[in-house]
Parts: sequence; structure tokens; C-alpha cells
Amino acid sequence: MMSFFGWPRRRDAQPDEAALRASLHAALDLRHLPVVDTEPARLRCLADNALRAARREQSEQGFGWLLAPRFAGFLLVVTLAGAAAGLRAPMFASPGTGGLTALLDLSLSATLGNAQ
Amino acid sequence: MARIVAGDEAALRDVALLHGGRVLRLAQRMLGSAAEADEVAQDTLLRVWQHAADWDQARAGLPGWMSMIAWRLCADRLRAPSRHAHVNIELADDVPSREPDAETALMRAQSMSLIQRALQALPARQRAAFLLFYVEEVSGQEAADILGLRLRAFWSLLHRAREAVERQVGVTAAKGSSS
Repeated sequence: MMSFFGWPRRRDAQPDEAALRASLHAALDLRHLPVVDTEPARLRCLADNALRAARREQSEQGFGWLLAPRFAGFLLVVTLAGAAAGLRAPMFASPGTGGLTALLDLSLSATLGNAQ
Repeated sequence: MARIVAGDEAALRDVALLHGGRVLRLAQRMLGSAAEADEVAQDTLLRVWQHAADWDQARAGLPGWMSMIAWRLCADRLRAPSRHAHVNIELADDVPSREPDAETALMRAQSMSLIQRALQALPARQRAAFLLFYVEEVSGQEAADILGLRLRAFWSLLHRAREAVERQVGVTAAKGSSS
């Protein structure tokens, strides 16, 4: 059995949805609610923006490993080790000669020295 | 949805055209801001695109699933500590000016702001229940599913929401007429 406004009297009964809406519409004019623009152009634009965001997220995930803390730490260690080793290397010590040539000279002279 | 899972972008545009309207209306009326509603609708579409394969048709229809996502996004925004409870009057500017005379337009605008104010004063879940059932005319069961409630809890929530809106509109109208 329904009470006023379509609400059921018994707790386990389901309300009459149409009666509920009708009673509310009789009391309040919901057409007074603000109109929301749902023009196709706006909806299409939102879909395009969502697709752009999806592409952006995908590309960020693709290169995300570059920003991973472990990789950044590894890069830092390699760079520092490389810099420390490089400062002692002959190619940096003798700027007048090419790096590779200097290295070859060094290894050659070492080999010849050992042979003698 | 199979087209979306296959990566067909045109399919997402079709979904936006078919079901995006309800998402936008719900978001804009929940949050009181067209700009925020755009963000919520966009995020909803993004999640549909990314999680289309996870959608369980047996649990919820597509419009229901999208409304569920939108409701959760709105609830997150409303819970954010930076958000202040206020009546957003941005919506009041969207009043359609179809009335021929200014007096009718003014009366309609006043009435609209009363209902709008009453809705904004409701707790978020009650507002969503009211909007889904009375404004979007979603069935009780679907609205309960969207809000993640048992059906009986939904009816109870809706009852409280309606009482609060009617009280608020009635009280405010009485105050307005007595002053």
C-alpha cells in the first residue's frame, strides 16, 4: 500500500517510482534548474580532449623508465665514475692530440717498452 | 565498446555523443561549475577509453557505468580539502531567456536559485541521489548501483534528500514572502 507521494508504508515494499516523481514535480518545477549545455560540439570536444590525454599518458608511460628513480641513480653513478676516470685518461691530459690517437700511442709505447 | 577496446577513436566520440550528456549534467549540477564538469566528463571518457576491456555489461549498462565513474570523480572533488562549501552562482547565468516578459523571467530565476541553493546545501550523496532519480529519471536500482548503495539504503537517502529540499525551498520561500 502506498502512502502520500508514492512512499511505501511497509519498510520492505518498493516505492512507486512514477508516483514519487509525479508528486515531486507537482511540488517543485525542476524545469527551473539551470540548463546544461550538452551540444554535440561540446561532447565531441571533450572526447577529443580525452583521446589527447590518453595519448599523452601513453607516451609518458613509454618513456617513464627514463624518470624512474633507480635509473636516475644509475645514470648519476655512471656519470660520476666516467668523469672520475676521464680526468685521469690521457685523451683529456693531452688536448693537442686526438683522444683515440693518444690512447693508441700510449698502448703502443707500453707494448714496445715491454718488448724491449 | 568492442570498437573502443580495439582502439577505434571514433567509437569514443560516439559514446560521448550518446551518453556524455548525462555525465555532463550530473557533474555540472553536482559541482556547480561548467569548467569542472568539463574536466569530470573528460576524465570519465578517458577512463572509459583506458578501461573499456574491464567493463562488465552484466553489472552495469554503459550509461550507468559512466555515471558511476563521474559520480566518484565528483565525490573526490567535493571531498578535496581546498574546496569550500558555497553556492556557485555561475549556473544562474545559464538561465534560458525564453520568457517574453521580464517579470516571468525574474520569477523563474528566483525559483531556480531556490531549488539550486537547496540542492547545493545537500550532502553530496543526497544531492546525487536526488539528481539521478528526479532530474535524470534514472530507476531506483540503477541510481543505487551508481552510488554503490543497497536499494533500501538508496530509498532512505532519497527520502532524506527530498525532505531537505522541500523544507529548504518551503522555508526560504516563506522567509522571502514574510520579509
